[in-house]
Amino acid sequence: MSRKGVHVKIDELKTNVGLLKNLELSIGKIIEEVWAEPMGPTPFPSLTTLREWDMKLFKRYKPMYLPFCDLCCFCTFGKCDLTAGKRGACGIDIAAQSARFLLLSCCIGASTHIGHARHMVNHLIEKYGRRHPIDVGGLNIEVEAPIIRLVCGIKPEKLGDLPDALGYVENQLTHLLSTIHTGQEGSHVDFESKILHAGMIDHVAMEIADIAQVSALGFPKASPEAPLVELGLGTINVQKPVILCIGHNVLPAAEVVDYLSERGLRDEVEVCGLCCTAHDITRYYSGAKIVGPITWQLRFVRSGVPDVVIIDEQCVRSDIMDEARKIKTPVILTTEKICMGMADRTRDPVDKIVDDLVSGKVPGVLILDPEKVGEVAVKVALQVAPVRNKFKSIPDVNEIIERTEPCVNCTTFECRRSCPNDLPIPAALKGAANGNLIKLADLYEACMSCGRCEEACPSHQPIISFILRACEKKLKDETFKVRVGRGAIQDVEIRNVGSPIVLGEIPGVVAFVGCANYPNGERDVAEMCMTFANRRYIVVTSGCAAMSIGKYKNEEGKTLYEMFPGGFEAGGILNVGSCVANSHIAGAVIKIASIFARRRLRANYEEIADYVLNRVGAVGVAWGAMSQKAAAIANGFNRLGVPVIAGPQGIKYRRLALGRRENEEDWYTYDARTGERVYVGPVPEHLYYAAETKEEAMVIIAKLCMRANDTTRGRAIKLTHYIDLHKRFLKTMPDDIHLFVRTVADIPITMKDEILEILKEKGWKERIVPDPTLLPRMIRKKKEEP
Amino acid sequence: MLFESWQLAEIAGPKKALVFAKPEVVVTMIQRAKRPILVVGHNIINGEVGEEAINIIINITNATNIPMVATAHMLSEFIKREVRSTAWMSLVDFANRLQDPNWKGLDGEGNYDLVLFVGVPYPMGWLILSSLKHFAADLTTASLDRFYQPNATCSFSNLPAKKWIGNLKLIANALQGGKQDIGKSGEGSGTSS
Repeated sequence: MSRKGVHVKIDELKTNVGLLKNLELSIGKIIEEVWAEPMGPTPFPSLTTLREWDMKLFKRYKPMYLPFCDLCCFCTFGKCDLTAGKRGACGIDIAAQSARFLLLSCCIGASTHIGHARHMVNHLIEKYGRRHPIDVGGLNIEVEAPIIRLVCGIKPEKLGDLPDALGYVENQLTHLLSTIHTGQEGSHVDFESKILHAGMIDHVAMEIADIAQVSALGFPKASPEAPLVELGLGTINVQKPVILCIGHNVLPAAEVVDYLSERGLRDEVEVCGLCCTAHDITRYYSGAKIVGPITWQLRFVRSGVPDVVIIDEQCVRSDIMDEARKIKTPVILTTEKICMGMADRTRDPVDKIVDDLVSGKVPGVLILDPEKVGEVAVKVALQVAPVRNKFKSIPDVNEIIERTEPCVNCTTFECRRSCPNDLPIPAALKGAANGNLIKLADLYEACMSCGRCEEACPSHQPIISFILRACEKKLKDETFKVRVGRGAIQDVEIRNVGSPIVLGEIPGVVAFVGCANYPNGERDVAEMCMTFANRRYIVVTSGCAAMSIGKYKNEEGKTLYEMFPGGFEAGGILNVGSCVANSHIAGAVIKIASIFARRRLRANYEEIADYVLNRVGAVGVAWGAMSQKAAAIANGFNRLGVPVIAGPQGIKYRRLALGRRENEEDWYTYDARTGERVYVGPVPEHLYYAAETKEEAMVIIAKLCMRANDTTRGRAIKLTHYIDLHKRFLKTMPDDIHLFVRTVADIPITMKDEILEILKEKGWKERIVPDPTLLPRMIRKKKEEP
Repeated sequence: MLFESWQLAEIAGPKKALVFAKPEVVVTMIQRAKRPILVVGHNIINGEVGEEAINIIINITNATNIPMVATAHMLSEFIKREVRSTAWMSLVDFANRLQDPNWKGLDGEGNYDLVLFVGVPYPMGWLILSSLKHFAADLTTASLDRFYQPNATCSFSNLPAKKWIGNLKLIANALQGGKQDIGKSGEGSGTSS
């Protein structure tokens, strides 16, 4: 796409025009235009380029703020009390401050993916060269980078093309962060627009990171038949030395695998991962194991199984060094982002580093060269494992009984009061003091192992360790399967399902994504996932949610990944991969507009987002959303026209974007055929929503899959699911059906009489199904002036 | 501990809920409200006294005709108990509408002046009440849950389950009869910060 800069220097040039001395000419890039598609209206959009689109969204989906703090403490004027309309010393009010805080979260989230992408791209260019081709699906994929094409208007073909997009997102992030400074933006709605901008650049960064690693590291390339790999603590072979990789950046873990392969040691050492590095290491080497989602860090480290811990970046516990020290396991830190106070040993000889770690002279080291990490980790694991002998930091049953004695008379309940899920920990501890560990074991499923209970306990009880001991046997039996992250969706898959999705005959695409801060354990996600796959929705998943989904087995002992196909098809369950692979979910949605509907993609964000909002019945579900990255990802989907449902903890991001179905004026679009403004009903009703329970979430998922463009057959199918789930979980007919029925043909045939009766009561009138758009420029025939 | 947030780190303020010194104050608030409504979340059925709690809530609504809105999947629990007059709306949808002074309410008669919450998951309730504190400042919110909700206008303190059930029973009984005596508790005098 582009060639590196040209620099010309002329000391002296005599011409017939005159004499030139010390002339320097520098050209940063030469653009070689090989993409036939004409440039769209918004290449490399700035902070305000898409503001008008954002305002259209927020006119319909007004922000509802839920301040987590009544004060602002950003500057030295503060703390300022912003309660109920009061303004701070800088003039800011609580609405703007809440939006400002969310923008900060999204900038943090986006910066994390941008930093990850920069590290990945620089490393891969250094190792494989700038001319290494971008290939995410061979002949099955022509649109290799739908988000980059859409946002930036460029078509990356080689690794060396990616820094152009990276430079853009780095630039935008700087501008976005600057708006948070005291005395900058003051309007909450404009903060909201910037939040969506942060979300959008986050998606660009995720795509850069994932297509780079898929292309260079040989990950599965859009394969529906990506292999099944093992998941769960019970799958780890504790007879072998175990190397545990935690985080999101696979480069050091990949070097471990390479070193093992080169030395013929693959069968001698167990390589496993936690969080997204686990996904990506299995994309690299299907013999690696996935321990579980992010919340498993304390559990697995305390189990004593890992002999070496490799830390890369993101979502790593800040106390990981202390926890590893308790089990006598050395730690290798591998990125500049997490140094944990350890000495930088990158330039030291391998044997010296290995000696220091094996002897326990140092608890950990920082090594910024992934290749060296691979060698050091393997050598240390082989030497440490026989000495450690899987030393664990979990007390035995007698010790638990003895240690919990003070809990019997404890009246502070501080363990329970610090638990995000308000679990009945005091009762479990009292039971343990009496020799009964059943209630402790009962906490296991709903406990997210955050460890806050331990910090709060006045007796400093290691409650997570108690729970682990109480269900030790269950842990050893935890063996599941997860399909390796497949990466992108093939163009041919999009062509096959584009029509039924847009017309509504496949009732929706539901993406279960995000972290593992679940309100009631992992099982809820698996249940929701299965419900929609059984109903022939396309179910897509990634990150920690994809692991949680793998932890459900049917009566035959099969996991969901074994029960359902891995293709982008009705009733499929697809794991796209790690956090950064979320970009392929957004990419699939974009490709429906581009490949199936042949909308121009290049730098044409507004039109594509308008298409998605009005036609593509896709919904994101972040049931355990916890991180700032999850906030950025969700808002990136929102700008693209995809609604997102969070679990109850997701309300802590401080803002929802909710529609009001009764406000008829909010639900008009233009009919692109005629230019008429047409009422289309509240579809989709919300943009960012938080559900109280999984039952509520399932009803809302079905509802939010409806789109203005649904055919009558498609709408009837979607209504069937919405009504059926409503009846199943709420035992009643929904009270808003009249808003979704446009013509009699929309009514599900099996419920016709019942619904006609309701429509009659509501004074319902038939209306047309338009060619919907929110953009006046998309109207093909302007309405004539009277 | 009685007047602290139940979740230790969820410290609210500067403006914090008054604590009901006695349950009779709730009765007075309900009686004096022009447009009260009761919001019942799914947590009411959880815990060792869930069944008792939901039956008391049903008694309260029967005694007062106070409208009730069930959130999450609670509607099915009421239908199971043959309480058919309950409306359904999700917690976030309902709280969003409460912030609009022009909202017509569930019955088309206008927005509410007193909203009583019970059975709402604690962290979610904490933030919903915070939202109402800031953006529906004229609305009175009362938390009838077991644990102190600092962002409500008024709240029970942190209570043992039996004491909490006792309070709810007392409210239900008072609303079912003897209304004249109950009002003497006096508004405001029955709360403490």
